[in-house]
Amino acid sequence: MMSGCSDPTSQRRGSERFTTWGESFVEFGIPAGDGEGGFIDGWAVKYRKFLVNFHEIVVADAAGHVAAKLDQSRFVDNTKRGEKELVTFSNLDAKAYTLVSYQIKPALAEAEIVGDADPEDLAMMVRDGLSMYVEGEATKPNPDDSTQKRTKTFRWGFKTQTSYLDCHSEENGIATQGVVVTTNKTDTSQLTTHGDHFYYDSLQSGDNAKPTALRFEEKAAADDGPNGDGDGEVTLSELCQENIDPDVYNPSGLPGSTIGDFVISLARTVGHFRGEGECTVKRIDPVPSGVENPCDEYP
Amino acid sequence: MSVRGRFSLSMTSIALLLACASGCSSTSGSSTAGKRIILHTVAIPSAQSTFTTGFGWDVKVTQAKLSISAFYYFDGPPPTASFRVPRRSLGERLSNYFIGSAWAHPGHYQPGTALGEVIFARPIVFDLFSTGPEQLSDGDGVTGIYRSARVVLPSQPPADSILDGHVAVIEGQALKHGEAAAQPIYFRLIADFADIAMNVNEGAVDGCVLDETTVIDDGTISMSVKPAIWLNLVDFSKIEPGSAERPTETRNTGFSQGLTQLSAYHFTFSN
Amino acid sequence: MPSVSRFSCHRSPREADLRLTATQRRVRTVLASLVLLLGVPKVARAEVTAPVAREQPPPVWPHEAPSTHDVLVPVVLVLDAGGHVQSAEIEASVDPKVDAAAIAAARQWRFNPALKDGSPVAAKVRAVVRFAARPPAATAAVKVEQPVQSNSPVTAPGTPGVAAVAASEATTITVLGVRNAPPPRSASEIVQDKRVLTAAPHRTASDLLLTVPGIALTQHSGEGAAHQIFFRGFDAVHGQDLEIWAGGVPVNDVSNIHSQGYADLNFLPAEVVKQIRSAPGTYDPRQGDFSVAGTLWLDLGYGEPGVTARASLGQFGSRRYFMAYHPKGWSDATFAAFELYSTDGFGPARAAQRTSAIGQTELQLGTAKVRILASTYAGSFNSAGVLRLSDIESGVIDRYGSYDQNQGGDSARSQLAFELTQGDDQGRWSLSPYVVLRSMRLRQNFTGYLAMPTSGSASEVAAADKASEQGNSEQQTNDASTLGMTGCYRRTLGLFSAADSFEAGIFARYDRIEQAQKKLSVATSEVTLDEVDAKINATNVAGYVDFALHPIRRLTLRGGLRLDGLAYSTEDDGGQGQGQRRSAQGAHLGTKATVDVALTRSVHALASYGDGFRSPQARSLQAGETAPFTSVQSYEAGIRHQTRALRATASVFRTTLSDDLAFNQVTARNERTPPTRRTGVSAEMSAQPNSWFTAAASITYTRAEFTNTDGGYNSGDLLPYAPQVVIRTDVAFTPILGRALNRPITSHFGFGQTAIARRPLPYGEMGHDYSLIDANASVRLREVELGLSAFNLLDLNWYDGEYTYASNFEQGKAPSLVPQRHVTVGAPRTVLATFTLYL
Repeated sequence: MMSGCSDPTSQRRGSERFTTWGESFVEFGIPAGDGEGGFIDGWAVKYRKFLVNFHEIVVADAAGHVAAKLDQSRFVDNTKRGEKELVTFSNLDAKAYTLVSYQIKPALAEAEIVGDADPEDLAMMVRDGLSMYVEGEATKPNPDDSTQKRTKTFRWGFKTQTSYLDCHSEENGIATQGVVVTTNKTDTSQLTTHGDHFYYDSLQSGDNAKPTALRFEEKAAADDGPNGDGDGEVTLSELCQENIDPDVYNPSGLPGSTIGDFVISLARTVGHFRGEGECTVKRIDPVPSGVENPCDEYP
Repeated sequence: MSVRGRFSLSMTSIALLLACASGCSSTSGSSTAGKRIILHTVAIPSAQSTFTTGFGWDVKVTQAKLSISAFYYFDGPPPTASFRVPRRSLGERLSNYFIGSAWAHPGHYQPGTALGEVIFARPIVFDLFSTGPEQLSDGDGVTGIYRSARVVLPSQPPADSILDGHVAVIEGQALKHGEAAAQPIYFRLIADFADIAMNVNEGAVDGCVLDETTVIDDGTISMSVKPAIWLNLVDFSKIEPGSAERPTETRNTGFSQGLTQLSAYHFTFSN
Repeated sequence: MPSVSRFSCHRSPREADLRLTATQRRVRTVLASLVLLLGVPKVARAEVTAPVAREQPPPVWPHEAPSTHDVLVPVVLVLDAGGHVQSAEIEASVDPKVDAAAIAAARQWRFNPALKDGSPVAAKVRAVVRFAARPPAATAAVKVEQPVQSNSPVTAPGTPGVAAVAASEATTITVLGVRNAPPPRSASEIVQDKRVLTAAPHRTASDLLLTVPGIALTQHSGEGAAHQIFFRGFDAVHGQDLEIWAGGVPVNDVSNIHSQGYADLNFLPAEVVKQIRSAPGTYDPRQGDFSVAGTLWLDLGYGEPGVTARASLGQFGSRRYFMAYHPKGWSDATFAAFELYSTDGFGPARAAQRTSAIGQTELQLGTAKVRILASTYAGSFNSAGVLRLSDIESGVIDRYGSYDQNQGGDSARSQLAFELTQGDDQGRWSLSPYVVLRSMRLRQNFTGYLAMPTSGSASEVAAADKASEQGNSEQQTNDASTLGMTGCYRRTLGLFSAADSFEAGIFARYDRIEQAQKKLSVATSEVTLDEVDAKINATNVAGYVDFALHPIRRLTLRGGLRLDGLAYSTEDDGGQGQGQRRSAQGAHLGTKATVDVALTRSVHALASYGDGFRSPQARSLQAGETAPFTSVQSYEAGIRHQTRALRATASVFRTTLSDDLAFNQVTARNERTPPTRRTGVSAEMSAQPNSWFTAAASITYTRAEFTNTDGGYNSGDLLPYAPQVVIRTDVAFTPILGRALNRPITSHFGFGQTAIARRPLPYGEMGHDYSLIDANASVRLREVELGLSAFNLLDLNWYDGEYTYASNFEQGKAPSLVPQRHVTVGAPRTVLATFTLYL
């Protein structure tokens, strides 16, 4: 419940700083676990690269007046340790700004590289028209022999164009829309990337009777199965040929019948706000005609 | 002036003031926002009985019935929403909502405010391929912008002759796409509340699309079902082929899950 | 002597009359005095100066019905060398009670002592105590008569008696009784005095609020909980928008978890409220936090001398025992009272009990006046909660039934207050510190088994939904300690006229609050969810200046500024809070102005403006946030007519708020809404033409609407819940029925009527109107009084509170999610018989 009241003639000013962080899931990996804190099927994933291209960070008040906007894009690799600053908007009126939004879109060559991201990675993203790219390795120990383990590598590039609108979070237990800038202080909003969302077994974390769990087994099976080439790398096209098992995966009413559909759909949910906060996720570009499932856009 | 005289003078001036107040008040809006309305409910038979599923099966449906205990209508946009102007806060309306082609936005579906409902005294049985639209009992609601709906499947379905106490039954035949010569699989898939409960709580399928309408008066809500979604993730190869007269009656998780997919149900409002 | 209301700075005579009379000190009376020496033959005259009266507080009418004409009681006073009255004797008896009152008054008079040869000596004087026909403005006339030629030896020990010849001017000076209230800041600011407050029967001090024009009350949490108050188109919830003071101590709870400004008046027995001053709007710089719709000042006092012991028995197992003591000869501000009440309730889950004790005294310490107030109270009550209207109408549940009989709560309050006043009308200051300890627990279930909209992570939402499956029985606890002080200084200015005055004051209040909200299982009462667990430190400090100027005859300008500073520090460990402490502060500067034109001696026209604020709930504030004040602006114009027999006022008013709060039918809580405007008309009158008839009536019409479109509310839509029309009538006849056993048989027949109409509800609906009558009759002979009271005399089936929101009280069935009407059912006719002993 933000009131957004302020005296327009006041000279009180503050700053809003936007950063990004991958949390331990991206920096250190996702372990095996109970399905929520780790993979329920015994797999563990470690990222080598987690590339994201941020665009158009906007801070606006409840009336819609834009107080600050970042038009350029920022390119980041969140496997690099620590919170990285994307932009700081200074000299903002100290008040509540309830309309905060950002975008994840395909990289542009003139994007500013944040932190230690590799310029060659940026070039690759621009060339392939990618907005997000993840590369890593998944392992699962053999239950009979701990020295042995199954390993799969993956390199997935996503062309999704997504805007994250009306970002909201919970501060001190209070549901807060947007941000509050206070006098002479810099408020920080972290655009958190949740590296575990690709592996959810349902497309909607809502009122599901079954709690949503992290799974990798079916992704590994895509490489091992009849539609895969068994080369140890799980590709998106292999995933797009692996039908989901309704006993395990639930598309929750959204289009998709393969694991690839899931991973591509879930890529849009990676962007979050101030930790566990969320935004309204919206596809920016129109759906091309003839396309029914997400995999249809990844030949 | 006597006390009494002064008293009546005061009362006269009071009366004048009162008269002025009622006349001088603003004329806009003489009541609170919104009003209560009646929502007639109609179930429209399905258009398609032949389709190809996501797993590559050509299916022809001969019979499909579903039992329903309630519908609810909400102002929250369904997950299959396209362009929209941001919400301002919980309980507030959106404006300029326009439906482009439906696409998925995984995440949280927020129903928002409940605007209308129809709770059937006894769960109804809907024949998806009946001859014409079926009038169901009236529901009640309030004015507002209707955007999504919830279908509630009953925990105790009625013992209809075809439904036989199940929540849903679908019969037909399936052929693997591209294998026209093969033997079709005659199926009769059933689902009970326990099967539904694996995927949704209390039989509630949330987030069904209700074509966005600003409702300002009584009207009719029409509902239709897409059996193609019910069978989208059914692997028919796992079903024993029966015969046309006696199809194999079996449960299937793909079917039970398909019943809980919001994309299987579609609602529209008309005056 | 009338007791002091909140700021003693305002105990000044009516300004119009200041020009006629000087203060009591300036009353000059020449009294005949005599100093006689025993057996001293005539000698040359010594130089003798007669005693001069310095302070003559007027007498107080005894409790019985006052006479319709002035009553004069001749007395003989013996003064000592200090000018104090050592003894007072009645020269000619009128009536024992009146005699006693005359003696009591005369005993408090102070004189400049008689001087003989420049030295003060004792003296004996004759005087007359005058009781005027209209009690509150009792006058004391001192008529000087012939010097007493007494042959009896008189005091003046050691000094030779002298036959003093006094220049006896029979100067009658009329000293008007001091008014209890300062001059009004708006046309509709009025005082409901004891006669109006006792006209109709009232159960508690909270009920007394009904006599204030424009107030409607509902009760949704049980008989001991605070009422929900509607005032001039405002849904003040439990006190969020109505500032209430009782005995100089604030009643509103800051940031109470159930409702901001929760004001529980059940700690006061109705008998000890002497008068209620109602100031609608925010035109007075003395009005602070919570005075969005207005302020009420309850003055405490009990005037029946001796011991009053009262027992009431009534329907539904209602029992009430009341005892009070007021010492003869003291002002009615000095009293002690005790109350014990219990009832089984008019339906299931409606039992209630309470007990309270209160004492106050007003003492003169030298030139200063000290008032001490102490009270303690504890109450507990059961509540039937709300019912779905459709369930009542279709017979699913009985009218007086309940979905959850575990609702109710308890409340406690203890307080200690001091007030020190010093000075005269030229300059007076006052300081009043107070301590209040409050404790409240409420358990209510408004939504049954419905899953309520919650924010948070998926697991938090899932936990909340799971808790709802066992029922939304909410337990709220609020424990608060309050330390505060008010102070003021007032003096005359003499800018344009002698009556000009200036006042400066401060207000400070510190609250330490611990509050919690837990969801309980309906079946087992186990805690299913910890929603709030917070500690709050709240500070409110304010300073104000106020001027009263009389630039030309008939015109008075009053105006002032008030600066409020509020600071909140909150630590929330429950629910989704993680224990961080966050603080927020803010300040508000309010301007208040009134123009008062005296059209005739008794008719005034007033125009008023004031700007105030509504403070937020501490828990809703973010760290570092400038406490968002809702800014409130009030305007009013009206006319007043006031004479001894009749007061009549009529006014038009408007209040605008920069944003507002309204009960939201989805979240079942108050949520922020767009700005609003309330426009209305109010007319009231109070007539006391003689001693045996009292009538007060008022009608208020308000239209409350939104002025912007946002969030589902359209500009021009009405605000729901506050009734648009509120009518109240109080009538009492107190004739003397006859005489028996040498005493009059006094009686009281009275009734009160409250009617409300046009309660807007969401979705264009209107709530039920009602008109209720309460009546009482009593007869008294000497020390014994028998009475009968009936509440809801016509046994109307009525709905007390009406709300629109969604609920589901049937576990397992498909819930109804569309907001529906819920009601709390009003009490049927309740009759009580009362037996009172006055000793």
